[in-house]
Amino acid sequence: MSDYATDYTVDELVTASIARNIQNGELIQQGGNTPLAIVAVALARLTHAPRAVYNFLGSIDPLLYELDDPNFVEAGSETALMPLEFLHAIGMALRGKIDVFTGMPAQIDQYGNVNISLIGDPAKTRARFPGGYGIPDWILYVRRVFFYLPRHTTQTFAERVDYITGTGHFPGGLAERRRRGIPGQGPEKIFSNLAVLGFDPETGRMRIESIHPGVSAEDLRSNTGFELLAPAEIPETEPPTREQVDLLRNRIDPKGLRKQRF
Amino acid sequence: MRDEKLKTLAEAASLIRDGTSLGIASPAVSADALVPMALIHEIIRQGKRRLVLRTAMASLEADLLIGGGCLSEIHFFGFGPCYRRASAEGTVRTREESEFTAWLGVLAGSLGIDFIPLPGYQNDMARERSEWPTFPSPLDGKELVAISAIVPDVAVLHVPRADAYGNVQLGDTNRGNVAAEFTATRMMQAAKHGIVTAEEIVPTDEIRRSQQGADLLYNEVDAVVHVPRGAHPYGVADCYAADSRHIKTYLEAAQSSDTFRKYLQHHILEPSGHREYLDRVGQV
Repeated sequence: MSDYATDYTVDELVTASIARNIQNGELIQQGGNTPLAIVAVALARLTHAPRAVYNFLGSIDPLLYELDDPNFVEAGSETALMPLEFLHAIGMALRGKIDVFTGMPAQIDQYGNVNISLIGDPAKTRARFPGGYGIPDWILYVRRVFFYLPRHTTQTFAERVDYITGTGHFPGGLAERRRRGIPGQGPEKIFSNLAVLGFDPETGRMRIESIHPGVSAEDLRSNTGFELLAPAEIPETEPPTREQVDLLRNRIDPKGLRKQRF
Repeated sequence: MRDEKLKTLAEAASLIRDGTSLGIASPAVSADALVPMALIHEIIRQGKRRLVLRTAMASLEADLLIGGGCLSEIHFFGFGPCYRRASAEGTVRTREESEFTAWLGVLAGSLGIDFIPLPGYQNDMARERSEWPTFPSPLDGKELVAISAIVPDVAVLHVPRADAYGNVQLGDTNRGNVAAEFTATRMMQAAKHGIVTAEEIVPTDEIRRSQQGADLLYNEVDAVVHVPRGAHPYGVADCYAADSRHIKTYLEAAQSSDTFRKYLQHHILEPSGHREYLDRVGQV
């Protein structure tokens, strides 16, 4: 019986959920500007996955556990196993050697297509985001893809994304993705402030995996811009343990980098 | 050719013709990336138009070129106040790059090959691009996407040291700077012409005697310009730090077209050259 925390915040719940999905020994590729994912990897490494390897900025496998040092990027590069050269990372991805990618898109649709490019008409945009950076690539070539979206609304979980920066699943599911020659398995889990979502391998559509404590199925559905598939009994998301919360607050991330956009 | 190539900023910028493509070989991923800001200012001063920008990541330098009215199209990922305005008004066409397309495009360019094939590459960027056609592999029929080579007409780079022939040392500036470390040399090799601005011009023997030797060979460079403090407001490792106050001034000024115009007028168009620019930003 795990010793669950009772006073945790939603960013801690999401961080712990992502950490639990990282398996010991997996190689994780960082997404641009995803502080919560950096924290989640550190948490996984300090708990059940000490052999998980992180590609962080210019470093492979930096010993990054305490992110309260403002120079943690530099500290990371000093403890790294080797520098990360980009062509090396591309090669590893194309040869199937990167296990997990974690990213934070602005919008997602029911097939897991993601947008981090723009809102509006591409020729005359209403808003511009930084752009795809790695998402267009990693979503195709990395084996398992996790995304987190801090604000679950009908705009962020949209019927249609304004621009497909990253290609998710297809009607026809994994078989169709394979037929199109895409090597990775595509988005596997989506973590929001309301729920954990997954995808049906046959239809490619998003389905509910679990709903966070205190959130109703009605809240989730009314904040989602498309119909979600659901099991007959919807489980509640497993809360973080006391140990996880303590590590997050007192060791890994006392400054609360993980709270960005939550 | 191994000839002396020392030129003035104005002479070097005149190698860039309206309507051609411009590669920024070392984008400002870090505050000490090797961005030739003095040359960017001179390009704006000379009123270049309809340039197509190729860069791995667009920061202040791209934003200035957009605000200065020099660009018709940008291929990159990045951000900036002038960029967001131009994107909303539809005055600059954006072609987003992903990490793989930017790196493999520059790699193909540097190798002198037409494209690098990627399996299963699909998204809205690929849909918009006729220069990334799909074709069956001649080996096994598997469907591939041809990521075409990035070959800028002119690529530009700022460096700590160069000799008069264009042998270049990058110094420690780009260490750990994943984007620039690769593109600084590869994009210069990919481009048809190269312009280098340097903090210091040294005799060839000094480069020969140093442990690392040259990072970029003379035959990738068509013009070498001696420009101390040529990266301002960015820094150059072991020479000077980035001027974060001025970067903040820029970002504030660029928030509206009116304040950007004033910035442009005062800092770039009115000064006759880099020395006067440095005077105005309090760097002399």
